[in-house]
Amino acid sequence: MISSQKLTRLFRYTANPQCIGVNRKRDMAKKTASTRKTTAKASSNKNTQGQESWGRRLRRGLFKLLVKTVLWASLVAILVGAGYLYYLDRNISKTFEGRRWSVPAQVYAQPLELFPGKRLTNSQLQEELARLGYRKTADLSAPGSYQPIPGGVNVHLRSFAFMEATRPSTRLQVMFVGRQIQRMNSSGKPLDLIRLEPAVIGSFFPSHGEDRVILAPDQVPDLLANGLKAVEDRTFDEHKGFSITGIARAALVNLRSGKRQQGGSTLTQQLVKSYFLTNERTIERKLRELAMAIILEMRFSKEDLLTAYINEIFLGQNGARAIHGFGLGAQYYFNKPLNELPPDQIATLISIIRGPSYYNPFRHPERTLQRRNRILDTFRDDGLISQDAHQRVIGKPLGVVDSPNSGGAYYPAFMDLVRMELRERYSAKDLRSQGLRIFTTLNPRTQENAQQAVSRTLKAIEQGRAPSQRDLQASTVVADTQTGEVLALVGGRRGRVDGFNRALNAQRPVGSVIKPLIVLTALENGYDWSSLVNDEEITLIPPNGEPWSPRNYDGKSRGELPIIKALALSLNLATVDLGNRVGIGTVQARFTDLLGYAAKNRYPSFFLGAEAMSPLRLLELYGNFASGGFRVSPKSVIAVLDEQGNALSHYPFALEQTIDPDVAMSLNQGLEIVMRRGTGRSSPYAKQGVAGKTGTSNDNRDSWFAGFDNSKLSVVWVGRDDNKPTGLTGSSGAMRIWNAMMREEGVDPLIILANENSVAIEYDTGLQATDKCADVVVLPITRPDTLPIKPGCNIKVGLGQRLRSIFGR
Amino acid sequence: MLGIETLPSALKALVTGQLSRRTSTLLVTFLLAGCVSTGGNVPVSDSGKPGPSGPTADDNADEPPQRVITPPRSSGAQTLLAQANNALDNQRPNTAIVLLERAIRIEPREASLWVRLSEVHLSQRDDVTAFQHARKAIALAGSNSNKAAAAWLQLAKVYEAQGKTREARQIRQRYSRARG
Repeated sequence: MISSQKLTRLFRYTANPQCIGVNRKRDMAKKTASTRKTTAKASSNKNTQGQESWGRRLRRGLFKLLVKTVLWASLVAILVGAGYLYYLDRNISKTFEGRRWSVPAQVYAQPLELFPGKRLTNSQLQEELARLGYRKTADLSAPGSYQPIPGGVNVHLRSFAFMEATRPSTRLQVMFVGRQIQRMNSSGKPLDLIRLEPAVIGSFFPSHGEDRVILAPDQVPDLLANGLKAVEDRTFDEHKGFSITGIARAALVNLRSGKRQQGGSTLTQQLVKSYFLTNERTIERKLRELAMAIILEMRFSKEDLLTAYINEIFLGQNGARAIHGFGLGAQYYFNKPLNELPPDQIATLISIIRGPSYYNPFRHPERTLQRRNRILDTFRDDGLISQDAHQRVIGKPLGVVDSPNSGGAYYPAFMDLVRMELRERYSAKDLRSQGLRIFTTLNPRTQENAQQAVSRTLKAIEQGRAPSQRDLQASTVVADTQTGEVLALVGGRRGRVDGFNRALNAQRPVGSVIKPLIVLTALENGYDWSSLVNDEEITLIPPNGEPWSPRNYDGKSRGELPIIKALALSLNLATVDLGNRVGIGTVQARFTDLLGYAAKNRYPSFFLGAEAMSPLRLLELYGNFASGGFRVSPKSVIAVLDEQGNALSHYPFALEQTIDPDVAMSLNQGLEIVMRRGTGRSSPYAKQGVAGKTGTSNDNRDSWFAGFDNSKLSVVWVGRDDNKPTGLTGSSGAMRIWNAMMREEGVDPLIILANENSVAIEYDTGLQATDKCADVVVLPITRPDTLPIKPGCNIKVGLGQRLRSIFGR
Repeated sequence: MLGIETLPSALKALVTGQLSRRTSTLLVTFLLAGCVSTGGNVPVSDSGKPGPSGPTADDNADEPPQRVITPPRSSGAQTLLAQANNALDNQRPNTAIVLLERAIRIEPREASLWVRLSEVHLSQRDDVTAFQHARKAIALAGSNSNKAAAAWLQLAKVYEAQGKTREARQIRQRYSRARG
């Protein structure tokens, strides 16, 4: 480097070349003197030179180290950053792709079949339509609407892809006469058969409780897509994941107001937050959100991102079930498909995004309405809806369903049964992500009736009770008598709440509802309804057990009486006597035949129902009786289809004959008498052609009822989860719930097929008689000619029978 | 499992001199209820089209007897039966099964539907299901001789498919004798 002195000199030399000779002389003299000085200085500096170079070296070394460290740190930071970004990219892409097409299986109820002659009233059909979210309109211009007319109803059915074929959207007229459909027309032509689309009753969302109805981009209404952008992210189509102007605007608004009023997050950032992040407010999380949003924008199209947002965004909580996406939101809040929502309801859904709890339309309708109207204003100002449309809807109420639980059907207890049945063929992952469509046997009307019967009856029973006596629980299962298909299942008194499913999982002693099994075994082994048994005190001493002395419920014993009376009055002593005569092994072998598994209790207390069973198992046992002698396993799934509508599996009717039809019919006649004359007689339906049996376990801990008419078999249990006494018998607890169900369902009287051996016998003695000379019941008897005749009854029979009646049986 | 000995007993007079007016009324009510549920007597052929009524037994045990299936009562079930027959004609037995099951949900006690369902399962070589559905049809047919005949003869076909020719022949012979 050239010093400034040297530069000055150089300049001087070059600036005045004529002076070079004079200057050189002068310089020479100076140089000589300078050399002398330098020599002297050098000799004096030699002592400090080593010390100065060490310090300089140290500084230089430190400087180099610092540079190197910075360089290495930068390199490492770049590598780590790149790795992290790579990780984020992989993670985000994988999760996004996975979640985008992770469609929970949709589960459908049975559709309502309509045909001339069907027993259905006009109002019932309109109730069904309302349940499916059909709206009453004047013009029927859109699917999902109906219009009552004198004597009937016009309906514009939605299209639906059924198992066999897709039914297009159809206009239909249904006319009624009395309590049944008289005729149906479609496009002016008579129609023999059509069905409503089935209700969606649930889906298999992941264990963390997120439910959703996935929409494809072409299923998203334009107003929703544009409205979201207008309200939540005006620069969505331009930005790359974040918006500086948006952040600045939000900051300004928040600064002015002094509180957090507006967020600066783009839709992409909101999506990232919903997918990957928690609600914590830290710089780190915000930066991560930003990086992820940018990656998502680089990886996916705007349409993909908007669709994912619409399917993903959190819109509320219903118990353990999180409502995600506008598809499910529309169903939950309005009980309609998204494409049928008018502008005001779309605006309501958009208003919820900002704070699903704060803008909960059920809890804060006023607040939500205000925000909805502001959004409608935005729709109008942005030209998304016309001024006229704005005027039409701005004054409308929110229009959400009555309560959080009435928007769309949701039956978690029944879904447990579906899940149980599908477990063998489908993994949990398949059910949560493959978009399967599962068609089930559930009858929504029966299910609703059963749920209401349980909750209302328990409430009525508990009225006036001490608080400690109010923790009653109940469950019920209803099935078709002939096919075994489960029509309704209630797992607890709060039917819509996912919790312990007592219908499937509560194992409780069944008490006297087991007694028909002992009678059946007896009828199959040479006994008749008229056969006499002893209702007398007895003490049994099993080989390896404690002595056991059963008692009747009322503590009394009645001596000798016919089997029919013992069953009708549910007499314990007589049943134990009959069981002992038939043999515990024989009875339990039949138990295994009818249920497919062995009883756990091998002692005679089994005769009185000291055997724990779930309501579903008990339903299966009674299915053998109600079906006329066939084992019909309770079944909830009809078929499973893939997303494209291809059938993956079909579950046909499965039954196996287990009881001779004549014997089954005979048993059902006996159970009909139990209702008419025995422990079921307090039911208002006891004499309308129903069969049933009550049951009560020790200390009134469990109250049971199993009953059936021609078409439906029901089992009801009432008890407490802590297994404490309830103070209820089978008839004062469970049967009351059954009564409440039948009140809504109506009785379809039992069909008792003719039996040539039916005979009138005296109820108290089992002797052949007529109602002129005795209190009789009519039942099939294997050998009526051997039946003794009650003295005094004028019955014309052969000499042999007359003699037998005189000289004993 | 029950044997073929459990042939349905012929319907005899139920209301005898021993029975009172009240109990007789009760039984008649039950019988009438059965009539309402089991429907009319318009016979249809296997294809679901209306056919002539006539004897349901086959006098020649070597030839499958001509069956006359009494159709279900409701128009809904009838329509579905016709659609199922159509599906079968178009070689779509699985669709036929789905349609017949729908029909049975409408009229679960209609024996003729169970017979038809048994036939379709048998055509799919599912003789176990076909057997049980034929049994179900027999149990439901009760005293209706046409329906009982169709149900028993369907059971005979299932036996034949299972190689149980002796049981099948017994049914045909008994059935022929029963029809006289």
